Amino acid sequence: MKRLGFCIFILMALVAVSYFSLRRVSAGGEELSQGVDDIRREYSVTGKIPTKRIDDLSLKWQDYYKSISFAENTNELNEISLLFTSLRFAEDGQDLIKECELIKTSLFLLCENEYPHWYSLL
Amino acid sequence: MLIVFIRALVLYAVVIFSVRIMGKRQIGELQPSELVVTILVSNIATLPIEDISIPMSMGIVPILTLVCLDVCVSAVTLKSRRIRRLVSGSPKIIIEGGKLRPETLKQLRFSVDDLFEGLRSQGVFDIADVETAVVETTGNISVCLKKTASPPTSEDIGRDCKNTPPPVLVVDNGSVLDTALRTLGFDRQWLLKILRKEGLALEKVYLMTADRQGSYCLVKQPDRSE
Repeated sequence: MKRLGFCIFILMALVAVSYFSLRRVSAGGEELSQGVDDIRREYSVTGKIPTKRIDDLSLKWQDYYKSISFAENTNELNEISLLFTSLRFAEDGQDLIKECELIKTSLFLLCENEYPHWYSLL
Repeated sequence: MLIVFIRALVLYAVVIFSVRIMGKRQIGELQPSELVVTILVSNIATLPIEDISIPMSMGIVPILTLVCLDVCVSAVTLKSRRIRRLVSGSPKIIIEGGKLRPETLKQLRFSVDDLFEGLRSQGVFDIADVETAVVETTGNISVCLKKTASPPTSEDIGRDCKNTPPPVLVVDNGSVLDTALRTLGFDRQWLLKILRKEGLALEKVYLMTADRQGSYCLVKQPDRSE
């Protein structure tokens, strides 16, 4: 009976940890997507590449990377890290918009793949 | 490389912990659900060790989930015979009243060779000696011999003997197992008295067993000079 109680506790703890990791991944992803939108908005207003904002966002990504790497495949995270590096070295507006879109899509897929949809369960 | 080493250490601990949670039954005879869990656990554990891009949680979470679910399912099967039959199946009689049931053997996909192998593992070499044989849910064959083929019991030969518990280990490699001594109703004083009588120091004893009547069996440590 003690063993059963212990197992039920572990199962509940696993459900809780899974739920909070899902919340962490999606909340961080939304925040970063918002940051990408801000970069695009600033560029469309000023016409200049917002280097400061890009650097800040890259730092935010590094923190996010560390906090979710316990739950995500690091290959996927490394691909997004490369996109952030490309964003920092964007040469013109077109390049910047392209990198922003790629990062947003990758972040969207990262968060979306965490949700237990029918298609991801089957 | 170091990551792989550390991951292997952690997952080793997780798998040992999981097997301990599953209990002693797991280590011995495997029920179908336990066999499935064991195979899955061994496969899942290797993935995060081999591929460092996979987070360790991807190994630990499914292992703990499977093992805990298995414990919960076994707890449910203890309460419900119907669920137990659904999960583990039921034993099948293959020889009844000394007569073989070939249709049950076919149903179980047991060949005649499998049957004989199972009988031999039970020490039965002549099928004519078997009164009843049952294929258990673990796949083992249990055999009940015909009275004519069974060895006589003490009752059969009219010998009056008391049922006594078997001897237990009281000294293991020079260390005294106090709990075992207490179970027998003895203490260290009794043990030291025996050792004095035998002219042996405690550290010279490799193993010692004793029973409630005070009978004992001593094995000395191997002599290093030999």
